[in-house]
Amino acid sequence: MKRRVAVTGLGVVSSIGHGAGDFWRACLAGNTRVEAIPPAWLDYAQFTSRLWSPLAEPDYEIWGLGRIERLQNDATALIAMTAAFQALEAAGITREMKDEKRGTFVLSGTGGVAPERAGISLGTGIGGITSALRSTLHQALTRPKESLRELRARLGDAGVLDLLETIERRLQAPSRANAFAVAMTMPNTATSALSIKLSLVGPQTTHCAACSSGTVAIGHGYRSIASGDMDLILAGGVEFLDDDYGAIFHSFDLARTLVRGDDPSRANRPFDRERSGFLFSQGGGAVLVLEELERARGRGAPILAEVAGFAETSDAHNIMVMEPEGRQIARVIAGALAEAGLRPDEVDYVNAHGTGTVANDETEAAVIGRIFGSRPLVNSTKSLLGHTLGASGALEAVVTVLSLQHQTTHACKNLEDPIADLNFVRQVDSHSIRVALSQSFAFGGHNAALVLKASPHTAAP
Amino acid sequence: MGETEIRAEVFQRVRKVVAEVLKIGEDRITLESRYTEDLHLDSFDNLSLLMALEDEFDRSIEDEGAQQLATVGETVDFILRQADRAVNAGAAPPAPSTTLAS
Repeated sequence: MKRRVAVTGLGVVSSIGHGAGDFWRACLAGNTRVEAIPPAWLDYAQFTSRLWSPLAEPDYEIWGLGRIERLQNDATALIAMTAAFQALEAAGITREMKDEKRGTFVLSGTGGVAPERAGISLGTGIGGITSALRSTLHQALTRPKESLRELRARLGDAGVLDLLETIERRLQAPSRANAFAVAMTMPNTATSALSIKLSLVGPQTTHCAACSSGTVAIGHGYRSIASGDMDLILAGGVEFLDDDYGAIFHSFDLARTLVRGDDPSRANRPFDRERSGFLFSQGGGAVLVLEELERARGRGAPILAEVAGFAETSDAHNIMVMEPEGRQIARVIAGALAEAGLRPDEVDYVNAHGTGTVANDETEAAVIGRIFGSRPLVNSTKSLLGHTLGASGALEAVVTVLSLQHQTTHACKNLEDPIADLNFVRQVDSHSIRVALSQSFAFGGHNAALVLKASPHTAAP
Repeated sequence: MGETEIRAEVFQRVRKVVAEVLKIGEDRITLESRYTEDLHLDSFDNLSLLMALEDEFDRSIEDEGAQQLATVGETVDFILRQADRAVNAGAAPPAPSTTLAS
């Protein structure tokens, strides 16, 4: 028999606020963080898109993540730990020190969940790419830079010296190698760090499904509890793309997927006729505490919502282009609703994938219209955050849970001339939101959808 | 700054780093402290210590000799020797200097 799965805690690291409370207030206020790309990137390439959403580094010290841990861990692992600590705290689960030197903990207050029945399910698009880049750049450029310096010291011509100095300056590389680079570059680096940090010895799984990774990770975490295999899962997604050269950004730019225009306040506009692409985000992350409902109730946990259904399909069409008819998107929505035992007319709110690219929004809006008509509320959290790739599904699931909990949701930023006659959220109002869908579609044709619903036991906000 | 004061400053910074890696009080660390016998460093701690020293003194310590350091005092001397070598080679001295990141 399928067991019911509760969401009992939320943790967020995002460009518009860290912590679920600040994040939610920023969402409702329509806050964004959009800036011109770093000027130094223009030394290396020409860019069609000139805007991005940088991530302010969280205060890791307040979460006990000092210099040693920051040297040992990729940023995705630090983001995962920060979001997980927030989520556990919100769920009323405490961390008790296990090994002070290693900075590891055991969880208490879980209502008796054995560590063997607690696991981690995290998604990421590109994993430890920031550490991989740093390690490679250090290796590739350190000695050539020394040779350039030596050459400069032996030459006298001022023009040549200037040129050499410019080349040397542009060869940016970390000055030191990192002895932990192997562990930091693994796609599963964040998942593993979290398992060790919290002494959770159940399965730890890393889901790499590009921009659907976060949704897929939460879906699999939900299933492992619903099936009875696990009792507690920390589920979510993380991404961090830091790159002094702008090469990762440039790859997306070359694929003609990113926003055009120079106006930070208006360029990013999912589902609007003037949309031009997605806003590249430097990263972020979110972690949800998932628990078996009865046990969570028994320990007096705040029940924020229930995960009621999940499905995955594949386009099997093209690695970078969504199948234009959206057949597998329609099937993933139908599958998630069927698992939840719900009909389309019972869905009150759809948190759309809503990237803001011309083709994807067109296909997604058409599918939503065909299945749901214009009844459910529809918004795009990417209209606020930009696209955080593997973290996006998790951040959007957090928005969906908060919308169920607070019976309101954020507006679709910059939506002035909608591409379809859907019930797009244009301003923040009170609504009756009992059932919600959060969906993600990715490069590679990964489609995933989660059905979340308000619980009769939902804690008052 | 005289040689004695420089050595004292480097010791203070090494002691701070060792305490940070091992999560112990600085008062438990002396120049004579042996990493294995007194402070019980394992191989993972050793890696962490080298990384943290590199960060503290903003310099690569890839020298094989760094792996052989047995006491806190030997580490202080090693860092001072590295600084001397850097000065002799014409590079900016890595430490000791209060102007360096710490």
